[in-house]
Amino acid sequence: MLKIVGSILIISGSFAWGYMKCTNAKARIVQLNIIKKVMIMLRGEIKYAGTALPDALESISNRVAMIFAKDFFINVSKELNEMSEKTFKTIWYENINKYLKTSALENTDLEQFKNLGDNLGYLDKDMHLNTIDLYLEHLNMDIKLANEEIAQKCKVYKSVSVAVGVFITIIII
Amino acid sequence: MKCEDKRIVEVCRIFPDIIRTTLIYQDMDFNKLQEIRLRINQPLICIYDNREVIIHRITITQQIIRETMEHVSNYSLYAFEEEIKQGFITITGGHRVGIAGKAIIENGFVKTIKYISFINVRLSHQIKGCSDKVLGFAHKEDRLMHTLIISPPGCGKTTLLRDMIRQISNGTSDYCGQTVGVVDERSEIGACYMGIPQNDLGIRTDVLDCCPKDEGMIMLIRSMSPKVIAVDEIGKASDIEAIEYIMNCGCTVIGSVHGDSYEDIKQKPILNRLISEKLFNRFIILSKENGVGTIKDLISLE
Repeated sequence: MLKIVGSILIISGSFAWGYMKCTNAKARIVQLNIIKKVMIMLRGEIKYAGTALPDALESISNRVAMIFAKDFFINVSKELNEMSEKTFKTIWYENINKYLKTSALENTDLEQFKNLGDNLGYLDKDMHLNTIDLYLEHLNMDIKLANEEIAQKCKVYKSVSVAVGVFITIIII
Repeated sequence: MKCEDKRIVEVCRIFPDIIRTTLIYQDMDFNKLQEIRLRINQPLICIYDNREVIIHRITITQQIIRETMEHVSNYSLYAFEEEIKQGFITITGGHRVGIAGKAIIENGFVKTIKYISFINVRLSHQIKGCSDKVLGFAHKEDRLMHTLIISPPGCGKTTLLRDMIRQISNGTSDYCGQTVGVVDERSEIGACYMGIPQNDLGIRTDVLDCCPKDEGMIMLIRSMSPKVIAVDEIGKASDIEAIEYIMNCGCTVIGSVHGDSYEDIKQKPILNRLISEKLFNRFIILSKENGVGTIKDLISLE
């Protein structure tokens, strides 16, 4: 009886892991799309209104429904307004590490997002727009790739997780 | 300086810590502090009470200039492209940050300034009540007359004009308040920061910031129907044409021009129209004879 209960727990545990990986992959796509939306809005704020970055980031964070990155944008804006000794790049990096590490974004996504911060803050309007456009291009490619792979990935995560669970059960029994 | 003074904090926050600390602990009265000058590889210099104070222990580095510019522009130099073309940015409090470096020219016009290496922070000091002596002169009975302030640079013509605007707008015990439209081409009168005047221009004043005077005056007439229009540093033929137009609309104009005297304006090819065509009835001539803002002469044509 104990063996049966144990086996069920192992198999359901490993399935839950696979299910979670699948959910994370889906959440990543949602979050990448939100970042894309934010970038499009930031582009608009810079291009048409010439809004300064702290104000633009704060206003966008209030307009876009995003739980995972709201604190990030609000804090970047707040720190920029404090006019500390830190550069824009430092503030951007620190806040990514602080607020986005727990998001569904992968390390490569975060690295790309960090790189965006390297080029914001000191360039002229055209260069800002070009930098954001380039980032959006990368983002679109990532979203497209992630969308193409999601169904297959989820299938693999779920089946592999169940198989691993069964395999461990057999070994233990 | 006492660091709890809000005005000091507004100015000091644009500088890196090393300058912030030095300025806050210098034994200076903010009201007498006029300029803070940063020149790369040179010591920090303040103009205090019309004297130069050189602070040798701080040498301005590229890093200090870069940080200051980041703070001045709120990490967004692109948002101040138009201001940079003119060579200055206005910050909270109405203080003006003048910049110099390498000018980038495109089609014969300054596109931007890069390698910014020189910064001059000119502190704004509004002197309320400085127009008390001339306000009566600018009126005939209850009616405000077209008034022109003639003054060499640095003699307080903008300060006087600003206080006249405030008093005309608010009204005084002798005169009722009137709607005033200000065309502030160089952001010197209202010192607007993000569209909000940092100087007190009165309760009935509308400000069109960073707009060319000629175009701005006509825009204000159409959009805000002011009783009085105020402009600083009239100089172009198109400004005078716009003034004629708005005077024909029944609006009173108060303005200022660069000049040493009434005769000096008469001899200038464009500005002499202001006198020969009797566009203005009252002339206030300023000088520095007994300090900034000395009223040298008052001329009335009626």
